[in-house]
Amino acid sequence: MKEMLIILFTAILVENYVLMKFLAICSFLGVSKKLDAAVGMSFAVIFVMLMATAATWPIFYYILDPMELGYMQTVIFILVIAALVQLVEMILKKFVPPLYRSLGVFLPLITTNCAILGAVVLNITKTYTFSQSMVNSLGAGLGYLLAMVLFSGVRSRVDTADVPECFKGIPITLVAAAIMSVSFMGFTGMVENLFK
Amino acid sequence: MKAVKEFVVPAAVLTAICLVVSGALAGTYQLTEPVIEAAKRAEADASRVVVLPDGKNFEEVSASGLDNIVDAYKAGNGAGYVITGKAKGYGGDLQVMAGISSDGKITGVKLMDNNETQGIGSKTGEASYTDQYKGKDSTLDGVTTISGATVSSKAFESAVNTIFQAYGSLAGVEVAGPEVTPPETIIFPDVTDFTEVALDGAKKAIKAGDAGYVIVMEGQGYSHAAGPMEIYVGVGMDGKIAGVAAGANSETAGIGSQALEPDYLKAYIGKTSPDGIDNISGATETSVGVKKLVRAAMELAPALIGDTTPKVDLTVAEDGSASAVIGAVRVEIDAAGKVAGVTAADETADLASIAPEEVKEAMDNALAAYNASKGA
Amino acid sequence: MNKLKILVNGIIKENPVLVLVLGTCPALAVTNSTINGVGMGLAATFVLICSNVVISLLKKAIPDKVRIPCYIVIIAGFVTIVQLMLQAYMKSLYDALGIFLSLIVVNCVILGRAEMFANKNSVFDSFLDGVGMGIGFTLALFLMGALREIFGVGTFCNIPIPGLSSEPIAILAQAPGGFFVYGFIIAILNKVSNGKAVKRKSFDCESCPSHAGCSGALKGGCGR
Repeated sequence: MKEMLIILFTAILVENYVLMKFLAICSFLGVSKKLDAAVGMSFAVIFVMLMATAATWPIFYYILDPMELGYMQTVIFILVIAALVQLVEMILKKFVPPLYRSLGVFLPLITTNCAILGAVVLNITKTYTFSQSMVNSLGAGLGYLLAMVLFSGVRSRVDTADVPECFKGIPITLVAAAIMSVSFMGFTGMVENLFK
Repeated sequence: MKAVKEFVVPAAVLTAICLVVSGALAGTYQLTEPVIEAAKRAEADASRVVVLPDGKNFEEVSASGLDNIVDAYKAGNGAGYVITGKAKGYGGDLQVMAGISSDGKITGVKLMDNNETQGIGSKTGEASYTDQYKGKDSTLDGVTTISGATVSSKAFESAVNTIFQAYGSLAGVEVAGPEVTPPETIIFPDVTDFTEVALDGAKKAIKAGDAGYVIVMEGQGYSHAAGPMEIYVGVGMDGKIAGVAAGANSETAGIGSQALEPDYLKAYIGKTSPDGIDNISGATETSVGVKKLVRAAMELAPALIGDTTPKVDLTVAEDGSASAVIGAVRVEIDAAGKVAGVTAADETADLASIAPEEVKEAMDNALAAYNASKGA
Repeated sequence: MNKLKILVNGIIKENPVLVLVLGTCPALAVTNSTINGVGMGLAATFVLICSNVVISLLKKAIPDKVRIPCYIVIIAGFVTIVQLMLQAYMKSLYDALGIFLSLIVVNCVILGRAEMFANKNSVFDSFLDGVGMGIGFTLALFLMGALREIFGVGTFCNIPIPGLSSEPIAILAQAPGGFFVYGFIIAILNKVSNGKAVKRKSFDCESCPSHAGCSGALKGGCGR
């Protein structure tokens, strides 16, 4: 249990996928303008991330690894993610229309979201067990949500701030992200001691 | 026909592409696999040669059943062992690889996988730190800590220790641990004959020659620590604390551990209770834990050294006034229970020749005895 | 289109990282040293050229409906080849790039060029486009990597620089420094070109070249 909590909080805070590992920067900077879009996107990411982990872990350990096809990992994983996203989209559209209306629009963006592929590949490289992988993916998703929500708040201020002309738009957004990243650096070394 | 165009063709094309890609990858893999294997082995061997320069043809030996050991390799030419161990650092597990020559000396150490803070804990990976291990035996005598990176350095050291223990069991030799001064010796450095004595309520009690006793108490420190902590309380024959030292504990390194450092614990020396000793801010729980254990030990102390409360020779007159002799001091007490005068018990002596503390203590004790007699 | 123009286009006028602001993840993540930045750039260039050529060759054969999965499989195939090659012959670079090597698959520069250029143009033009974009990507990563290494570590390609190596601005080589240096480079480009250089003015989906890959859902999704 303690170990699971450490994995969870490490993924959320210390190894925050967006701010410390630089995964899913495109969507982090692109979709964080409005809070509701940021939250919708984040939940879609969490959802697909968990589904993708649940699908890729068994594929790797029960099919690829025994057949010594570990090198096919990248190809298979991205295909699984793409297929999964399509499938989830179709199922949601047909059976859970309200959920589809709120999450559906974000789903197609997710295939090329590197946080998903990053999470499933990292779960394999870190040789996590199935449950550890699920917890790690959940933490990665929650960390993404945290970064998105926090940053959408920061951006609503930054966008109206009076900055030098050449910093307007992208540069100031990146500098704001840098400052937020500094604050996440403060979590290093904390999680382990939290659950001692 | 429409169905064919809509579904069959796309599916066929995608499948075909997948097959071609798989084929191409299988081919590439067949070609590169031997090189990858060789590169992996060469890299692993190369890193082992760094810590054991004379080693060749390393072979993995089973390290299962050894705690905190990642892997172990034996040099095929008998030069020694290369063992990788781990310990908890500042940012999680920290791995250290060490080469130990056949005569039990370190030939080199290297920081491996770690999440230590860049520029701080990561300094344990620099040659200026790791070079000091070269030539050391299992006692690691004289290994210094990087100031500002205590936790990482200690973790590094403890990983090297673990490696030596593993070396001992793999090579089948006796390995001495680092020399640790037992807490009782820290308290009574001049005493050599320590004998264990029975004491109810304490974890352990040790008679320290003629100098006094050491009472070992166990209790909780930091509420989230993995286990209880042991505190050694030394009591002199005069009933005062001769010293306090920490035994086994799992207080947080660098935080709670501050309350177990000799620098802090020396404040107890000469006292009879923990009253008036400051807590260490940031390590309050551990400080309070120490105080509780010292207090409990001091309550048990009389059972070992006898009652050290000074004997009070009290004579109460009919009018309620009294006169008490405590050691070299005579205290006059009036009917209202106030001190009326203090003189030397020996009428020829001068009160000024007696230490003021002793006089004050005598007054307190006289009043206590007087009040006690009134109550009775 | 003039062949030379296609080649130079990706290096300066439409530099993927600095002008189009794409491929941000690797540009931030692996540029903590010059060598890593250039290594990543070259690996991505190889994938980009190969996938551009192959996709351009197959542009008639691939049905529109499944083109994105097809592109992804082709790209993933080349990425795996790069992974295997690096693992065999440049193990240290393979270890340094880590997961970002697999993530070349979802690098929007590569999918973007497939979608915007390779499936509409001839094989040779696609090849030139791949070379140009690849060089532009590599140069940008080299610039980021060099700046972060020089000021953050005080070395250049692991060679210590006198005066800087003793007191480097360590944070520039760490995660926040990536955002910071990137932001400043774009700001300086804006300044010297009077705001004309950087094409992408803000982060939204219309400027993302792979947004066609996100099918129609995008209309309400990203930019709302």
